[in-house]
Amino acid sequence: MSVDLSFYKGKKVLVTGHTGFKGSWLCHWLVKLGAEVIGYSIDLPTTPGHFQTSGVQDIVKDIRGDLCDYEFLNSTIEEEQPDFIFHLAAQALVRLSYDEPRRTFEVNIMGTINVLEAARQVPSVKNVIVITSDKVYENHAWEWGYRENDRLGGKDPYAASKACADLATAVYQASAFQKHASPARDLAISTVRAGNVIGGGDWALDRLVPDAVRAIIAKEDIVIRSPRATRPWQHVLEALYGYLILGVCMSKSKGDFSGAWNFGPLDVEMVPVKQIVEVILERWNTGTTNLVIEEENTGKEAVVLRVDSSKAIQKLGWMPVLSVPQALDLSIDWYRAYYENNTDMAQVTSEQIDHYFFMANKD
Amino acid sequence: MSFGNLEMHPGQAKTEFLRNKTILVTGYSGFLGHWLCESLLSTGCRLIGASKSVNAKISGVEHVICDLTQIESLFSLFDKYRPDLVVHLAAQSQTTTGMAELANTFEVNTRGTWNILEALLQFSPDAGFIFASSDALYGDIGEEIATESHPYKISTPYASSKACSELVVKSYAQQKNLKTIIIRLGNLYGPADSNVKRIVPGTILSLLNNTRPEIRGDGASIRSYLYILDAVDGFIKLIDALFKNKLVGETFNLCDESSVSVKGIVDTIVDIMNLPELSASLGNQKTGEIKIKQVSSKKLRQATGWQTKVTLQQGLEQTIRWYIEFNKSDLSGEQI
Repeated sequence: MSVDLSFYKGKKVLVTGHTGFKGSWLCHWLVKLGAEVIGYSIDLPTTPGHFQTSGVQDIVKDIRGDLCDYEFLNSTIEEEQPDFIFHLAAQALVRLSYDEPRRTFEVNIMGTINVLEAARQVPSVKNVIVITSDKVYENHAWEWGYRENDRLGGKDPYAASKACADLATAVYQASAFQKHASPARDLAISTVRAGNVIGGGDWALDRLVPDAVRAIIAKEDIVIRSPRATRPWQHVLEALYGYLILGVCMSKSKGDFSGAWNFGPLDVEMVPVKQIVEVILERWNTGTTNLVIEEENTGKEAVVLRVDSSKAIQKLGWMPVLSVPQALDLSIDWYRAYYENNTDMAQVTSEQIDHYFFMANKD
Repeated sequence: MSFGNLEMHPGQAKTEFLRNKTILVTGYSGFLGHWLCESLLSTGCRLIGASKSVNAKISGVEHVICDLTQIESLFSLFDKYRPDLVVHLAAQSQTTTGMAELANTFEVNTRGTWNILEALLQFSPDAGFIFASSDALYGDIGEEIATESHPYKISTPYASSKACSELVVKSYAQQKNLKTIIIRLGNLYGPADSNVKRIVPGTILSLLNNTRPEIRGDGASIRSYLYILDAVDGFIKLIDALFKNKLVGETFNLCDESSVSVKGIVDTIVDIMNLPELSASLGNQKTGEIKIKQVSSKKLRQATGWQTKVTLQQGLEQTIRWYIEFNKSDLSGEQI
């Protein structure tokens, strides 16, 4: 029995980071559900990008603004009067966070605070979902999945900034704060912690699937240096489905559903990089790209952090259903449609959403 | 400002190693900063005190006006002084203010911290960095005793901003190889605390003004209170360690380990001052404060040999004596 997403029909939803990969897919899904979507973000992070290739600018109110510009953010929310806010906008690249820790902290921490401040000032806003990350957990290098009440404490600036965003959100959410703040509010606020999302239309740097796709298009080999490395990969739609379900539950019963939620992938045992690339090349066999392994570190692979999704599974009726190979298949199909057939990518996106929804709800 | 005949702490740590070192203390005009600077002055170091207050001055400390939220001013400060050690105490620290000005709390406490770290990285990357955090981030853990490995449990803006600041400090420490120590402080009390919103100075001054002290809430909250010179001693021991490249990257609780209720401490003060007719009046509104808090400083004790030397009774007696002296010289309006 799944939660009825038709709840979003006619609702005004603000999506920050709508120009990004995840945000763009979320906009499509929300619009499909009949929501009126307003996007707030700085300019496009990549060219190409899912946003422009699937025509998101045609289906949402596209507002370009900086999270750090509180005045503009606040006046936008005041003017648009959304019911819901999905806050995805962030400095999301780990490597960039090493070079620019301060900017990463500014955008991810102060930016989140700006969103929450603006949200609490505008009475129309009833629900806020803040997208943080599964990287917020302090890594104890143990085998178990992290639960929502485990210690937060990411070390690299990206992870630390997301952990801080989570901690800051916790206080805005706390009923003790909301009651004694001015104006007094009763917002339902949650943070959601998902893993390394993959899907069609991601062109970010230093991500495995986009890097592989770039190599295929350039007719170059895919060189991997850590073939045994793993990450908690999951399809973007799987994480987004969780967020959408959570949003419905929060608006029906805020006390029970505000808080932190993990949305992790299906498989406990993670697929290594080598296998990921093999699956990609199997699905997209051009004959001009080969897998080349130049293993740098032959020592033991670091134990990769994964989350325990029991809370979301039991309380929200959400369930991860796609294996990583299935997620890869969907992703590669999208990229192929874009590169080979000059297809209507809005249509492909929409079809993939329908397909995922079917997979998630059969039996 | 004179401290009269108050004895410096018995058995203070030897601090010869600080001679000729440049130490920057932010928030030096606050209660802890003031006493820490007093203690550091006798070591022969060059003390730079940063504060946003124009008036704050301790003789012997070079006073610099500095706003943590303005990174440019921090760059100039670090460029000019190139400190060997930074003790970062400055913060927006009152719980009640925190509720009302949440965003500002993060601006000063969290953003202010990464601003300082950026400046430090740029001009004094080998400097030690001691960060004053708070036991507030343990939250409400009931009967448990908080140790450094307890998770954050955030319920106030101040606690959240401090938890975030800790993560920022750790991230910089890790990524940029900065030498840092984090100190989680509990409640402090002692002479020369000008913040009358805090229970000890507030109570003493009420009584000196012949008014019944007021307690927010029912006074049943149980806390610990660390005498200020014991706290300073803890800092000195950790400064010592950091200069010797020990305990780098560690976090320590610095709290008194005995507990007393808010009403209990007020009653003790009333008792010492012998004014039974001015017993406390209790409020009953809930302010979102935490009911019981017990924190262990065992890690610090074991790592440095630190221990509290002043009991609550002794500390309150010294504190009260100071306020009586101070009140007589009629400088009660002066900002410290």
